[in-house]
Amino acid sequence: MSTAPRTRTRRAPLTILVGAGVALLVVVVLLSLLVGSRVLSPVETFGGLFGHDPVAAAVIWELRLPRTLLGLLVGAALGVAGALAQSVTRNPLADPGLLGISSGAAVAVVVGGAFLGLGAGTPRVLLALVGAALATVAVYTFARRSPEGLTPVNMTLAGMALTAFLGAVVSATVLLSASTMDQYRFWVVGALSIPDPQTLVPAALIAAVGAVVAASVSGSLNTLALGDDTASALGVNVLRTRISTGAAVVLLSGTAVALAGPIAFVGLVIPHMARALVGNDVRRMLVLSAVLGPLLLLSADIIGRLIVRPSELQVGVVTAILGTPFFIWLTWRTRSKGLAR
Amino acid sequence: MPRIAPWPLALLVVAAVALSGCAPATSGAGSNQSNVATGQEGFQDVRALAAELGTDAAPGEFPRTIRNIVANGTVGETEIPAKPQRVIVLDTGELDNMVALGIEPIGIAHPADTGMAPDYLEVGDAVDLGPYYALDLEQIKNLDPDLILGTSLRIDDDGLKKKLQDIAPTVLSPRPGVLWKENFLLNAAAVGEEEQAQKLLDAYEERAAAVGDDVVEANEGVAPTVSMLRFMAGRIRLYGNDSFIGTILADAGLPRPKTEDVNELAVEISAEEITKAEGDWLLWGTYGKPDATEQATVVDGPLWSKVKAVADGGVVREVNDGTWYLGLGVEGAQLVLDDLEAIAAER
Repeated sequence: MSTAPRTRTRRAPLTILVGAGVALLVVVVLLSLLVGSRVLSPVETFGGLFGHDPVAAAVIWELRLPRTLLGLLVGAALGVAGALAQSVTRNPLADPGLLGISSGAAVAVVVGGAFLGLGAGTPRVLLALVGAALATVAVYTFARRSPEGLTPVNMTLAGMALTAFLGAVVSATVLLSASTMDQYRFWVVGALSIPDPQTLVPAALIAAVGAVVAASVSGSLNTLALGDDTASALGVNVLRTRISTGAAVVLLSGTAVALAGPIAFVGLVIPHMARALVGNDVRRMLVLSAVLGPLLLLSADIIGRLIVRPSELQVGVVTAILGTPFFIWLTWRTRSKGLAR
Repeated sequence: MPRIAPWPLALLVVAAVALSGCAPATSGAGSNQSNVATGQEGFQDVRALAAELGTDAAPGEFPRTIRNIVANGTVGETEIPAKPQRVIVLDTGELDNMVALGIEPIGIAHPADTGMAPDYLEVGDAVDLGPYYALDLEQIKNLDPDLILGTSLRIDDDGLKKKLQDIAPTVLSPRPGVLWKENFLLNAAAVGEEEQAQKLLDAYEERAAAVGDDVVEANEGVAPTVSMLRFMAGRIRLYGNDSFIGTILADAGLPRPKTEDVNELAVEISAEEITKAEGDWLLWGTYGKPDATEQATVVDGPLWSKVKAVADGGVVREVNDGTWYLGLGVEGAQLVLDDLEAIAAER
């Protein structure tokens, strides 16, 4: 990745971008409340919004609102986690899946479900966090023990190796237990549905801690982009920055994976969009990613509710379909610009 | 060269699989929205097809030939040289049929998420042949059966049909569920117990009508419409007329609410549409682990109190998925009638 500062003069100021993003987000949130597998007439919708129509009110406020809040939380967490992961590994293809984090959470959820009988809800959130943290520690340990030390390339490689290994563990567990398979099949593609809206509160707290850590390391991450030696020379504690960033990524993506499954591409695509809009400044990227993440996720979820009525296409499938062309284009563009390493 | 993480690739594959499993629900005749509902036979003609099957042999006479599905869309004849002693069953329906006739199968295949047999069926020393979509052919051969019973829907590959036919005489009916009575008679013909089977069916039908009368009486002389709701992983269904439970309710003379009074296996709905269950009575079951389904969101959820049976104080009851939806045979049907009778008695 180029470290040369890009011209900032032609970019729109951050406040305007964030303002526009938030405005769009409000529109999408409204759409998310109004659109779903149950068709509500304008009269019913109006009655539901203001509590005159009990059925429509239950649909809007008790079924669609928790789902929308979940989308906001998961989207923001994935967007920010992706931006952090790409910055700390200096790898434009990094996302929470790459560092073994999603698969760590997945293994914990699957094994917990198959052997401990733990289902959806708070136990799953905690399990996923533990799994994500263990996977991150493992990746960190492997990468650190390699001859070149804790370089971004080593972290990425260790993450990919661990992901492959954990994938095998998940497959083995799932194939041995048919009922876990059934549960896993839907969880693994990612969906915005939680049986108990109460789960949102502890999850939001955990994600908020992650966001605070992210904000506190964002300045150091900017310096880290100049290279480890330069950053050290400028007084940044490289190791501590990496560990804090890793912790933030674990908290954010672990929560997201636990709540909605390993949703693909949001963590990958959003930081790139943010970077294209506000440049390489990590702090600006984080803020914009937190707005763009839920925007993409909720839009994908709304599309998923509409295209296979009366069933719903899970949001993970929609983001994968939307994200794939972008991913291919990104790979192509990165190479054609000679930015790949 | 950038490395592409395996996760996105894996997710792409998963996405493709998920997509192929979520075919858009179109409206119109014969559109079935699930793998179970989609057979290779046209769903409409399945009863006519079943009527072609059976035998012309005199009661108890062997060798006999059985007309059955020998390849997809093909009715052919299978010769059974002597009264079978070593029978293998490939699904719960066939198992129920054999148990009802007092025959202990030597090998049993079953749905993925259940054990060898539902709780209500005794299986003795039978060998587990695995789930029906991944049959243990070697084990089947080792058991040296003299009859294999199944449905063309479960054994949907002609190559697999051929392999089974090479091992032993194989009798396949078109599909489980809606054809459970026809299947019973076909299975019974294969083992030379057709008279006994007809007796059992007659007794069932007589009792179904009587239980239906009990229900009407318990409901103050008016037949209640009955909604049949089922939670499965990733889908919620309201069962229609062309299902096992649909035929039992019809035999009991109990009407169905309009949404469910369709000649389909089931209507699929979403959690937001749960008020489409418009029966005076609402009976629901859950397949597999409740956690894997939306049961918790729906039952006692935000819209539950708006569902007709709940709002009007009708019967709202969880029923045993293993008999009401998976029973698929006369033994299971009798247990469903037991439950209905008990519900009517409590009313």
